[in-house]
Amino acid sequence: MRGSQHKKESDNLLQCIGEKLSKSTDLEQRSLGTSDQQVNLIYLKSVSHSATVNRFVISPFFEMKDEKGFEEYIASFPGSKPSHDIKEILELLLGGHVGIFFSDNKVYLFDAVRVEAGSVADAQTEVIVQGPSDSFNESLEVNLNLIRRRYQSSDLKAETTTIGHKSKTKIAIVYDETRIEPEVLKELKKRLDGISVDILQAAAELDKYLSGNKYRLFPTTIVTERPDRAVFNISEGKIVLLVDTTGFAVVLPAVFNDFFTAMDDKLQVLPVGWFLKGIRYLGLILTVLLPSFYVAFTSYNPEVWKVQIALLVAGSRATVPYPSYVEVLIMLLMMEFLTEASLRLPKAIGPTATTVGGLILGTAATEAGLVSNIMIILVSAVAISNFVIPLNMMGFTIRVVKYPFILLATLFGLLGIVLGLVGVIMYLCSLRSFGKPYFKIFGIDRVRITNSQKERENG
Amino acid sequence: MNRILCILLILLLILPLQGCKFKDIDLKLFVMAVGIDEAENNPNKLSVTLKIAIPQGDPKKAEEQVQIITEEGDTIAEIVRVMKSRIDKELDFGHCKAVLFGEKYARKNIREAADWTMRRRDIQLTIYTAVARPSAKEVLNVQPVTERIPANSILLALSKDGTESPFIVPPAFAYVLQRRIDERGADPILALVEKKSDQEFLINKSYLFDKSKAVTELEPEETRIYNLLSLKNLKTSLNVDYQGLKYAYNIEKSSAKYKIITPTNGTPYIEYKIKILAEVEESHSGDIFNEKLLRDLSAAAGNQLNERVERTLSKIHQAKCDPLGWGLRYQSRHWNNSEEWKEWEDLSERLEFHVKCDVDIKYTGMVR
Repeated sequence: MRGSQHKKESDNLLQCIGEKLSKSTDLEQRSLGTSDQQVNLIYLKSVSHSATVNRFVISPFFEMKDEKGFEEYIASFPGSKPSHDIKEILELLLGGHVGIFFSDNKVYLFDAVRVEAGSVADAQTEVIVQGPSDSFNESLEVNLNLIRRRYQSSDLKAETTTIGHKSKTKIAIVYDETRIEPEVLKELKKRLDGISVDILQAAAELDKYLSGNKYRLFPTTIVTERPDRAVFNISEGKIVLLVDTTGFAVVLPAVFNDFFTAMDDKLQVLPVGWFLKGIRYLGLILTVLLPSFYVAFTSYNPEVWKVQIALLVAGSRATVPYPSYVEVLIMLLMMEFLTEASLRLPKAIGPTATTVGGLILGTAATEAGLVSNIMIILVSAVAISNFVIPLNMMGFTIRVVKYPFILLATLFGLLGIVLGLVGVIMYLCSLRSFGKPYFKIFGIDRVRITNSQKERENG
Repeated sequence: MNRILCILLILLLILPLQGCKFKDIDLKLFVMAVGIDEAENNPNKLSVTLKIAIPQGDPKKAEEQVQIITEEGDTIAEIVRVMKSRIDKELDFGHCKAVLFGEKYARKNIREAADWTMRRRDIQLTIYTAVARPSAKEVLNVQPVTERIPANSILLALSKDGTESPFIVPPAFAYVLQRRIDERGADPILALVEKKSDQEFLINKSYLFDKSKAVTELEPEETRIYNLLSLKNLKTSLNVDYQGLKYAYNIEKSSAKYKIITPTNGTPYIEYKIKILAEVEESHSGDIFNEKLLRDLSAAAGNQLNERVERTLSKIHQAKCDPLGWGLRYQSRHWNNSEEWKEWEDLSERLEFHVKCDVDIKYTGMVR
């Protein structure tokens, strides 16, 4: 009678934990032994080392045949810990321990933390100065491990689905249950169901399929290779899609400002962080508007310039045989070729292309009088300020956006640039990322939500 | 598809709104300064001189090249059109920084020239105006050796961006000039640019205007006093004689206030209160300064300045000009719109000036 009562209590605990960790596909629950000698195991595959579990927990159990002896064997392990507190058990489970439930109502937590060190490489496309440098790799398990290790909460859910008729790519939807907005999740699942492709091989591809409009100009989801960015966004109430075999994660919904945040902004002293962010927005404005301003000022409104610059430009343009917009287009296209070429070239040849393209071509073009000196400065400024944008997706978009501005400046001068700015801002305002406004620069209500969330959790 | 068509249509429709024509900067000639004179042989005709900058491709050389062209005709607009057939590129007044009126022309009437600068769309309202002696053409031909950009030195001096001389009156922008010509109760005052040699000009006098006609010339000393009265914290030094020795003090802070007082019986007068905080800049005595000496010096300086200011004010008053805007002040402080101007005209005839200079020489300058 007493025994069965104990048994019930232990089962309740197990069931309760199972519920808490439900919807996580990395949850592993096993019963060992016969009906009278039953030991239950529970652990998370993604953070626990399965080989360790097999070798040090499962094999000895069958070798010993005696539950009492096995219990003592487990208790003697360093890092093993008896516990009955459900909160503690949960925390340790999420940290990589294996929960072992014995039939006499004892619960031990066995240390089998899995550490992936070798296979996780440094981030390549989003390099930062300080902070963690690991990046997602091509294994979904490892990526889940990277996230779980940073976010040890039972609220973190990971659901999987597959996409692609042939590739059957596994996708994990990772989110914090208490912080997301349910409509976004619902919308996401609806859109994931709607995707009908044969092969899915990159996270960015998924991003393309997810955001309904094919002709949209700006990315509405973040594609990142940094686990810390993914975790930070999860804590902000966003959803992360881990795509197996890609090494990148998709974060959604995104706002415009997210694309101008580098992960080490958080580590900086506050004024420095503001300064860095300010510089990025300045870079954005420069790279989009400088070429069109050049066209507008040289051909329509030279009085906007200081006299010195006006005379300098007029002087250096004296030998240039074609109008200003052709000059700008030629140089910008040369720069695009250069960027594109050095991007795809093997690392050994890359610097050569840059030297030949940037230094020799630029100098020679000015000396031959084909482009003005000012133009070279301008093109380099445009190129450099384009690279200030931390996320590549946005960087590519911005590279394209400046061309319509040049067209407008050629047709309408300064008026055209103003027109273009108004148009771009209107367009950005009309964009939605999974039903959320996209051009919400300061994300004020997002902060308010998380603050109230935190209060609820603490109180 | 429809939306794209709509956008294209809108772009097409606003095409005429662009204002200017597409013309590259290297096909334009920038006029840096305009000089307007009376024609040499015919007093009824005008002579316009343009100083045109020739752009230099190499910024390291920094040698300026200008073209100066002069043409005569009946109206300025006509002359500019005639000039266009003498040059190869389009004239652009967008960077025009100064309009100079020849002395002879200014003494006649500058109304039409001021009108032209206001009306022409590519001339900015913030260009500087000044009177030139002996003529605008000769002043524009002066090439100072320190000049790096054509006509820049006149501009730097007049705007006080460069030299901050106390003998140059506050900049008379085109809009200021026009406003003072139109406004009842304020008259223009323009700096006088004189040619000293082929490489040097001198700006230390000013011209009082009776509306659009140049009337009286203010000497350097009087120009400085005018600046003291019209500007705050004028950067200058003043001399003072004390017990037969010369001292000079540098003004740190200065402010001038005035009140128009009309006693019911008695002559109306303008009471000027000038407050100056200063430091000793030069002393010919060799004595050690103490508080008493500084106080006595301040009193002497105040008295001597009183005299100088009164002399300048009465000269301005005798010329029947109003560069300090007393009439405007009087009108702003009175309600009877229909009669106040008449009253002022009547009253300004008998005006007297009471000046109270409060000079406080506080510091002895550096002692080391």
